Amino acid sequence: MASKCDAAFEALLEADPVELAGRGDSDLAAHVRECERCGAVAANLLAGQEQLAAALLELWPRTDVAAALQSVHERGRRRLAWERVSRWGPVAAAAAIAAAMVLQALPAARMVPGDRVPAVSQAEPLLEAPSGQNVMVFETRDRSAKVIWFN
Amino acid sequence: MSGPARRDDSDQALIRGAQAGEGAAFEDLVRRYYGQIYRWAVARTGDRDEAEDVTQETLLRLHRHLPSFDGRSRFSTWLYQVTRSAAADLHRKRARRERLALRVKRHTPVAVDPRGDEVVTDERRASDLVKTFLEELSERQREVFDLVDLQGFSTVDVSEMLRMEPVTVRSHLFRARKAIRKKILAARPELVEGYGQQV
Ligand SMILES: [Zn+2]
Repeated sequence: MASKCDAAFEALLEADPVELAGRGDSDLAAHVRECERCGAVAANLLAGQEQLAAALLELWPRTDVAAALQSVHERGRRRLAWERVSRWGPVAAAAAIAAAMVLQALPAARMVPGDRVPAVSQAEPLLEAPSGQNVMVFETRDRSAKVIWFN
Repeated sequence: MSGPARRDDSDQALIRGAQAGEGAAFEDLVRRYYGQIYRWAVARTGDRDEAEDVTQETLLRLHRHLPSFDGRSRFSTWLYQVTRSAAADLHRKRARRERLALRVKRHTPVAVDPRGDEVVTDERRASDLVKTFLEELSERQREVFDLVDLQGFSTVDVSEMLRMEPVTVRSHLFRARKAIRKKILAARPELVEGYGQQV
């Protein structure tokens, strides 16, 4: 009997909770039902685990759910704004650089107040942006050269 | 297991609503899973403060990624993976910050709980109990034990949630049970007297 209890004790340390409860038709569950000593050990283990599960359920975030939701919405909005900036920021920067280059390249005599930089002529698209990307094409004064900006 | 599965069924309408941009559906979904996400995070990190940050980050990722949830896995399985990934990322960030803090040897005062030492609430007792038991385990053992034995997911569900072979899940589970049960029995030495191999 002692060796059977020793084996049962070892098995109880890893057994499924249903076996600790003595349910089912496994040898261990049957022994738990029949042996008072192993039954007491099993009941204690089950109670300990149930206490631990109950303790875990007691835990709740200190931040209340309404505040957490508000924070999600605020951070979501900030992220969207940032995404917009990071998507268009480089394009805007490139446009500014290109504009500066165009202005620099124009003869000084033409840069009188009120003068406008000639509009870039409408042309057939040179190329298509890959899926999910933007592309900008800048004309230069050298008609054989164009600046292409992928973003 | 019936508990988690039943909840998944009744989540469908909320998920569809939230995916369609209905704020109220998203908020109801969050209310339903808020405590659950936090407890997953506690079990995963073993630290309540870290779990708090993980919960917040998980909600943000839920908001961002819910439209891409295609329903092929159970929602709770998917959400657990989102929580897990948030926990792993925040843990890396926190570890980096701590290394930096150590490098500059910056000392901050010890945080004092405003509730005071003499006020021992049920929540505090629960927190201490969870900490005492879970701190014995490795991160993996904590996760598996929490999901299977405390929350009622099957080992098959958990192997999907953790992307782990079922045999590995069981191995972590058995080691976790053994460590926790030895601790439970350590408080009742009279129960184990007479066994060949005592605790
Ligand atoms: Zn026995």
